[in-house]
Amino acid sequence: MVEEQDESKEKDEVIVRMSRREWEYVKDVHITSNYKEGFETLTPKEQDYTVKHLRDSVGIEFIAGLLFTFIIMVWSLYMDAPLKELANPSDTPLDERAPWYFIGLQELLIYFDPWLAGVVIPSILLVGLIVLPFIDPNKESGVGRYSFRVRPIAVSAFCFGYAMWYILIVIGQFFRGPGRVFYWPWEDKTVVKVVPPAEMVNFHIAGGFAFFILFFGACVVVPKLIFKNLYKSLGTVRYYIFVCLMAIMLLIPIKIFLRYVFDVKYILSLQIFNTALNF
Amino acid sequence: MEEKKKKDGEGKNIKELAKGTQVWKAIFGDLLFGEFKPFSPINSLMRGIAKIMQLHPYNMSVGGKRIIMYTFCLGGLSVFFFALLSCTGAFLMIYYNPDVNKAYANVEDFRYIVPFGILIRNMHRWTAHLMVMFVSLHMLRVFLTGAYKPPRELNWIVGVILLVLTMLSSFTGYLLPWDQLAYWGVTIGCSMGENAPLLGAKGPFALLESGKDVNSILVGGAAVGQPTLLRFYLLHAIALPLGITGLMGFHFWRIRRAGGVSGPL
Amino acid sequence: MTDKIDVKYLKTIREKSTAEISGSYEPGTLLGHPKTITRRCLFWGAWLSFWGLVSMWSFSVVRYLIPRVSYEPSNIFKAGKPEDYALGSVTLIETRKVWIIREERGIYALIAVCTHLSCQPRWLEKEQIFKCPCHGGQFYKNGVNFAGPPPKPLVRAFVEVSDDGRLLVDKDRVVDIDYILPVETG
Ligand code: HEM
Ligand code: FES
Repeated sequence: MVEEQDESKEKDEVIVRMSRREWEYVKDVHITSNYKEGFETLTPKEQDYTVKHLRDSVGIEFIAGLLFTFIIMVWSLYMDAPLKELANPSDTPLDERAPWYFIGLQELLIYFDPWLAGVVIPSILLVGLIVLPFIDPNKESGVGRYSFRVRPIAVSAFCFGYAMWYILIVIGQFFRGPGRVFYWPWEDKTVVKVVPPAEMVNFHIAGGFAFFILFFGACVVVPKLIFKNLYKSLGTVRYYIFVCLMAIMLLIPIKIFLRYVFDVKYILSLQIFNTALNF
Repeated sequence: MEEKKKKDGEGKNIKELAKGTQVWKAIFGDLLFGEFKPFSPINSLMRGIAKIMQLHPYNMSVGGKRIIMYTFCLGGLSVFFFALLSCTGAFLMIYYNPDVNKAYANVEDFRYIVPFGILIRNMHRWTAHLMVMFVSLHMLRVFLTGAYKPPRELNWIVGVILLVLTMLSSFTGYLLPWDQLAYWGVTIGCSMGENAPLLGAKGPFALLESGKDVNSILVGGAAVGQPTLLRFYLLHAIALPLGITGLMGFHFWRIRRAGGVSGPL
Repeated sequence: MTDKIDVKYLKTIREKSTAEISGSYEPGTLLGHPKTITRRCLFWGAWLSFWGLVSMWSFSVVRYLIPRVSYEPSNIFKAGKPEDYALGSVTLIETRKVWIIREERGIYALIAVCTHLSCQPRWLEKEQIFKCPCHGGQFYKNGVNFAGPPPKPLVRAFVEVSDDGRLLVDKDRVVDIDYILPVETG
């Protein structure tokens, strides 16, 4: 491939000469540019950008990598990774905690039974993330830039869930002491706080059913009324998937609220075939 | 949408209907099989390879400043952290034995005996934290810039799997020092599997008995012990990194096929 | 997709089945015949056997991962004489993860694994309760849960006095919450 600056032509044209085979290659791979058969002209501006990609984008990622190597080195020199005493299967330590990215789930364990907090909720979360591109009705707009105004519902729904995940992590990491008891940051976490167990109540079974029916009913109806276009743009199936996912997400703060304010242990406690299903 | 489908549906079979859906297009659409028009055998082979591997610089009219303010290098740094973890991890493997009687002592050796062992161990641990954090931030940035929309849906799904694998890698690594924190953290984590509906021994409607449920695939017994350590070690050092590497390759390949990062063009 | 079928060829390879055919052959006649294997049929057969093989192999891999034997301490063990346990005491047998509890009425054994997420609760002598350090689950001395997240009482294991006069604990045999092994005092 020969690249030459033709002086006779206008300054901002570059002629790239190439063989037929090279042309076939270039034509095919450079999808974004508009080469013409045989010859192609690029303005210096465009040419600049082509170079800039390598220099700037990859270069900047490289610099960022170097920067973080440095940060990690310094961090590793000054702070040692934790190592407690040898594992002892017959003695559970008081301040047991999961790795920080799972502390959100550990936090949920306080409010939900393990099969919900540890299995069902994370699975729904994953399924929700996977179907997300398909239930977003807005296929074109808001791509390639940070935009809230173009898709306010999508952004706020996602950010709500994302923020909840991290808020739970922060609470679990910094506000919990021995026995997963709530500690304010100024309280000494080495002192074991004795909290008298609160007298917890369950909703009556009818009340529990009523709660869930009303709640899901409201979640289905209310968005339709508030956001007039939502139902139309989503279509029936996607609307119900979206609304159900949102409702399940909302149930988490609601349960936490009920637990702290009304000492509710379970909203709905069922007994089916010897199995307790507690929600 | 339903009505339109019905109208289109007349005279079409299920396969053609399926081909019209977004899910089908996301997986088998233009990005995977489109644009391939063989020219001459050798040329098409060369082009095919070059194209599949994306072995060429591509035009992207994005200034450096805008790249920083757009991707914040989050994806790139995740790759970088993964590479760093692979290196430090390989070095750690030299002195580490996945044996309940040795593991803890080996890890202590990194601090007191192995020259610069503590540095390697610290780097491995802190980089792992950073990677989990950056991958999740990367997901946030992809969402906020709408980069999961067609034609990038499949890449988003691959990304979600990568996020899960990253967390699992970190979690399996958590057990390896075999200290109190690790032991009980993993005991709790694995008991969650035991509580899975139907498939766990303690969950609702349990079908399988204790020691034979999904949980014991991970634990290899009734309680966390030597089989668990070995399984976690193999997952942590072989299976998950291989999976992540493969999916990452696919991730980048899809980015290039989509014409590069969605961005302020 | 009606494949043309060479009748002569068919006759040579399947003499019995083609015996029913006489006269000139119309394309497609044999398609309905029970012994005719069309290409489509072959294709689906191949697919089916492929997926059958894949699913069988996946099943065997999953089964392979679940161990048949675990090399852990036996779940049936002897735990000293009943007289060794003082009245009102709660003794943890660490290697087996079992509490032996001696009460007025007799002896019972509780498995020292929290019914919530398998941590090991601690016996608090002063409060006379078991408390789990992980999420604050609490149990009475008889194993009944009364606070925190645990959904069920602690599991009570079967105990009996074996021939040599020592206690025999069987962790695999779960007994009712009111099971107590009577012990003569004095
Ligand atoms: C191991 C984890 C991951 C690595 C190493 C990784 C790496 C990358 C890189 C280097 C890019 C190029 C753009 C950028 O730097 O932002 C990218 C883009 C992308 N990633 Fe990831 N990623 C990971 C996880 C994820 C996750 C968790 C998601 C979402 C759930 C995701 C979805 C995407 C999508 C949709 C793009 C295209 C973005 C665009 O075109 O603007 N990735 N990834
Ligand atoms: S494991 Fe005992 S309360 Fe959670």
